[in-house]
Amino acid sequence: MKKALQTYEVVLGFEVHVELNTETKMFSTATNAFGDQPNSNVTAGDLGLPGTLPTINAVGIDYGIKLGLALNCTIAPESRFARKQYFYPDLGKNYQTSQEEPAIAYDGWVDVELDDGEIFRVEIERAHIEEDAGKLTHIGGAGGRIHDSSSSLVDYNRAGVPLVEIVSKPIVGAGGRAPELARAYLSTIRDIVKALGVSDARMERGNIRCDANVSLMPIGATEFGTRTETKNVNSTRAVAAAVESEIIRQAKVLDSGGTITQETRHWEEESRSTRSGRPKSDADDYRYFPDPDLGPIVTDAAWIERLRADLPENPVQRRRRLREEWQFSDTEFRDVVAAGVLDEIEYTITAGASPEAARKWWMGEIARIANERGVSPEALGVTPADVVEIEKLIADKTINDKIARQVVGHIADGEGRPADIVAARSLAVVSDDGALTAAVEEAMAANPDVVERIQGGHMQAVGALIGPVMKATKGQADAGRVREIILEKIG
Amino acid sequence: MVDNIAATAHIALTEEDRKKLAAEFDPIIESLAVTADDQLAETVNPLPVNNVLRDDVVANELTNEQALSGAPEAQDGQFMVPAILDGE
Amino acid sequence: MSLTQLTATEMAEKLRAGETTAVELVTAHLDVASEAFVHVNREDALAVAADVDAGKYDHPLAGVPVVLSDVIVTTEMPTAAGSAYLDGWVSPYEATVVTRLREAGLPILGKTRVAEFGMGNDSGAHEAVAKHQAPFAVVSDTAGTARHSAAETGVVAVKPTYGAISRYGLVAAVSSMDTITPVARTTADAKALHEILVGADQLDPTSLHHEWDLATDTGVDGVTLGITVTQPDNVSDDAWSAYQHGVRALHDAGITTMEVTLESLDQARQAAHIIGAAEFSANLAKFDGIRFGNRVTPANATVQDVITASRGAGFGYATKRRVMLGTQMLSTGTIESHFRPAQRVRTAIINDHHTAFETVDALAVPATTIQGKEYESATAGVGASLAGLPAASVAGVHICAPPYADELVYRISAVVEQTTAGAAS
Repeated sequence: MKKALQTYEVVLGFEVHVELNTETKMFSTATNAFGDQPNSNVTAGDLGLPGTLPTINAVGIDYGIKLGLALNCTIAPESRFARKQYFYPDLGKNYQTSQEEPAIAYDGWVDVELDDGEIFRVEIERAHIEEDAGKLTHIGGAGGRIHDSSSSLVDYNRAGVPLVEIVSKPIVGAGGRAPELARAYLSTIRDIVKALGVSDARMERGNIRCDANVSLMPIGATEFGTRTETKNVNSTRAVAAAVESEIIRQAKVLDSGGTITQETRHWEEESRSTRSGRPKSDADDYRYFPDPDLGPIVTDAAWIERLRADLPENPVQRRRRLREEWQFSDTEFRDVVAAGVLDEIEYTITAGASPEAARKWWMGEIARIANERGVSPEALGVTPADVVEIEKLIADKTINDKIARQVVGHIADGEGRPADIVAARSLAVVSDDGALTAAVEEAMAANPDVVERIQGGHMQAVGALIGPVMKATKGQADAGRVREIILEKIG
Repeated sequence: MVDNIAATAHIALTEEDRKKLAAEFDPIIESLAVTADDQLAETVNPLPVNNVLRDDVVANELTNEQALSGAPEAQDGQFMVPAILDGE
Repeated sequence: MSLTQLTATEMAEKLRAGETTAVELVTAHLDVASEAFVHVNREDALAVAADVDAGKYDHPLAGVPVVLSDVIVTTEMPTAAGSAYLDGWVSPYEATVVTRLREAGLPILGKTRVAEFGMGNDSGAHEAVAKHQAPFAVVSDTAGTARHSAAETGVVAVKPTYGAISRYGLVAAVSSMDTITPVARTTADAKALHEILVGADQLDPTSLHHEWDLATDTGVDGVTLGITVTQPDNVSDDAWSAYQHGVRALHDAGITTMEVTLESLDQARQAAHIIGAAEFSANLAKFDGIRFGNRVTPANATVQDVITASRGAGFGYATKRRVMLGTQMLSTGTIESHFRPAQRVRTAIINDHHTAFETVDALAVPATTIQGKEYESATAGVGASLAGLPAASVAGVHICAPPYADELVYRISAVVEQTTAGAAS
């Protein structure tokens, strides 16, 4: 890529589709949910049955405006919906209800933080509200691939799910950091929509999907080169790789005197390269026209300000603030962000834990169990309040670190809150001298050789007695107190 | 021209349709030309009401059986169609 | 006198007086049902009638039978909208107007023949009403067709203000012009049916939230009416004479008239055809052989071939031509040369009407215009369709009034129909 960048300037552009997490679809009252029985979350309208009419989801509009505001956009005083027409079986009406000009939000920007902390401003052209398409499953061929299938099955559950499409303006000047910028831009959008609460923001589920436009032009040129659009790159890592691979591919073509075909391309994870899709021209005629069934969306200052007042802090600014407040190292902080537990740590600190303790639990045992069970840490069922309670139980010496880690597992199993679990499972540390003394005496009787070695001055051998005591008390003994009792006995 | 539009509209034409349309289509388009004041707004709907929004509450869902009741072909609770060759 | 000779209002009175039963009314009409019907709903209509006779409904019109144009979807009867594509299809959901009729206890005799997707003058509903096979009917009116057919068959059609009656479940032809319209032999019956159907519906985003009051009946004394004084080229001598007759009746009833000409209407025909074809083409895109309707599968077909073949086989010539014209109207180039200017002409037509309504309360023109080739002709009521106005076709007179003035249209219509009282047979 380095070689390519000596000759060419990279121009990027992104179209990011965000699925909104409303209760119902954008233009129908069917459930907006993932993974249900096919064709059960549908109204007659989602199937395009004759005589049906769309209705506009108020929450979808609010979410679109909020997202526009978070992207520093102008909110259209008046916008409306348009029909984007093309025949494809995943569209129940054979048109997609979308927005032409103006979009609900336009002319914004977002600051993207690169790995070294440098801020890169990406200009936003527009963010418009539209509906998702249904899902096609290809059957009858080998491996369910589209090319050799004999039939396809159509599920319209996703048809009509609200989307906001965020379209960036062309991004010039990223140079060698283009892949890094691509990744950072997509993470920033994900963080913003997550902070706003307008989307589940699960990229692996397709809640956020990115199309990456890449073109090259000779350094010093002012006219953009022909671009390709790599569709549906659905992870921050993949978008960086796809941009890099496309820069290298295009540079090779141009270097050898070839021309770039304007087309859609597909990212292939296995080969880590893009594959040619269908040719796409700017003249693709979708015969957009204003939907006569749907009236205008007219915003006023009161509406916009009510939504603005609801906006969370910008994620980039918030991260800078939190890093200072918590005094984490750069590496520690980056790991926390990458693990996606920033919110949880913040809530835990707010609930009374120290930043260090909060980090220890969320990046440690909770992350480990979550990883083991294939869920994200916040979905494990352990709450910030639980973490605070566990810390308190440790400080009181009611439990030790090892027991505390077991308690986390029990919480994840749905056994209740920490104190309840400690009580129900009798996990409290045994510090009753009577019980401990009996256990120590038993251990000494069973290991006369160890006793002899300790008496001979080998103090490290004490550990060989603590082990059996811990075992006898099921790990609930206060190890410090056991050591004291042993030394008293032998001493 | 007629064939291009028929392809865009996804309509198979009989020979007779094609003949009639070849003769009629362009003259109709030409005869429908209007002249309008550019300053006028474009009416989409004669009685537009602003911000007709509904609550975000689930209603009027079909059962899977109802959804598929009119399907020419279905399998496993889904609509079945022949292979898609020009897909993404 | 046979029961079918009564008006709907008279049938309701006899029912309430115990002089007939709903079952008798339904039976009398079903006995004379003709090819105006595409589906006869005998058992269900009789069952509803029996429930009415058992006192299960209290609406004043309960038990008075009605027919539906076959562009309105029903769950117990098929809906074909006059198209081979839909032939045999039964909707899993019901149109709002059907629900309202059912809730009021009006037995539905059946569904009536209609031009494909309602785009044409052939209407079994008008025929059934004119021939006393039903006292009234629920139809759709897109660009004045239901009003034109009313003039041709000697019945009354009253198109409400756009959005007054829910379109949910009306197979869409031209979304911005389609209007559910009552058809009856008398103005009073049309109004009675209108009152059952009217009102906001959350399933229709263009539905109006308005307190409708159709009950006043103060006559037309003092009303000012804009009229046509020169016989237009597309109005026959007979049609002109019927119109003048109606205007004289209005004079006699105390109406003041003045000549009003709206220049923008010169382009109403073109604007309605352009906008109509454009919306029609998009509304019919969903007829693709995948989720409902009749599929045609050529050999070795891809899904795109199936869509193309199903539409080709299912649509009649006029529908194909209209879909293709509409596709052209929205394509690059033509959208600028035709569609957008047509939307501006529509604005001019709306503005012209508003200006006229500053001077007159309503407008009356001859209801019957000569219909030549489809795209060279327009109905008398196309302007009211483009402007969303309430409008009636009665005894050769087409009346329209400002939005929401449906009640005034009924008042004027009631006076005009006295000129032909008893003429419909």
